[in-house]
Amino acid sequence: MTSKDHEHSAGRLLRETMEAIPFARHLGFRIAPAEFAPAVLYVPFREGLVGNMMLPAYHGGVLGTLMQSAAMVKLFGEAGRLPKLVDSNVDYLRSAGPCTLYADCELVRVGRRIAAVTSRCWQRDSAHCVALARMHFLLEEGGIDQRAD
Amino acid sequence: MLIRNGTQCAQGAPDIGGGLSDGAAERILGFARVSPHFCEMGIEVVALGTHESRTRMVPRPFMLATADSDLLHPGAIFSLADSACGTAVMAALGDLRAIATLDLRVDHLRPATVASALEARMRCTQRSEHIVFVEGEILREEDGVAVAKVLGTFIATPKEAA
Repeated sequence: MTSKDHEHSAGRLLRETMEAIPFARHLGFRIAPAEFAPAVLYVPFREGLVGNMMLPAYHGGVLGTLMQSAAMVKLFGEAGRLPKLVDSNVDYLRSAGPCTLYADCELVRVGRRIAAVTSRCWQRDSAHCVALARMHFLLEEGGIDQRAD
Repeated sequence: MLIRNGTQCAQGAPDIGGGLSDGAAERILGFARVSPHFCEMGIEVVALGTHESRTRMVPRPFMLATADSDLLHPGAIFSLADSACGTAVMAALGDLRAIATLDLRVDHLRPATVASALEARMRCTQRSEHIVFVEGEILREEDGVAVAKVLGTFIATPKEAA
């Protein structure tokens, strides 16, 4: 397999992962092509993503979801299954206006059970973050949803 | 005083106290009704107090994390959390200044599935001229069990929200 073939199959795997996340697909999230690097995901603007029409600005939940999804997609590539989010902290730095939103993802530490991940969100300029997220994911099979209630 | 959102009010929602004016409550309910993302997610304000809110979301299949399980995407919880905090903050401010989230933390205590409606109960713990601190939980309506713990900080901007 050439490195180009490998890139293609990796790209296809990412796209399939996105297709497998109904909520990300519903919101219109897409896998970022190479020219959008370092973005992992992006979402074109549409009205349903707006929290406050008067500003107008993206709803904070959409920014959080985009960064969580970027992390889920990237971790899927590492672990082969979708991880479970344990907690997330999002700092909102600027209002996100009506244009395309991008998110990258850094796997700070991927252990056997837990992954610590950060993500940034920006619009026109990747140096001007609109939001930052810190998240912990559980990688184990089972985990939170196997816990007895 | 508890202000209920007419037809969308959950049966038997207890009074969460406060003295929010009818006018301010109406404007917050109006904001929630026209916010595109509130509408897309089906997030409705069930009750408002002086510095508290209860909001409700009925999960829909598009909110799933994967196609082969009934678990909600954590982002759906995050959107509900941000919306719920926002309405509590507006109630605490009592005016219609636009607000922005400074930071929001969500701990996912238990799985949330598409099977049960969720109710977010948020209360503001402190407010100053510009900053409001808010905390609360998101409960599964079917058994009242908390699925998420929420902690947020908001800032009021000089601009009117609606």
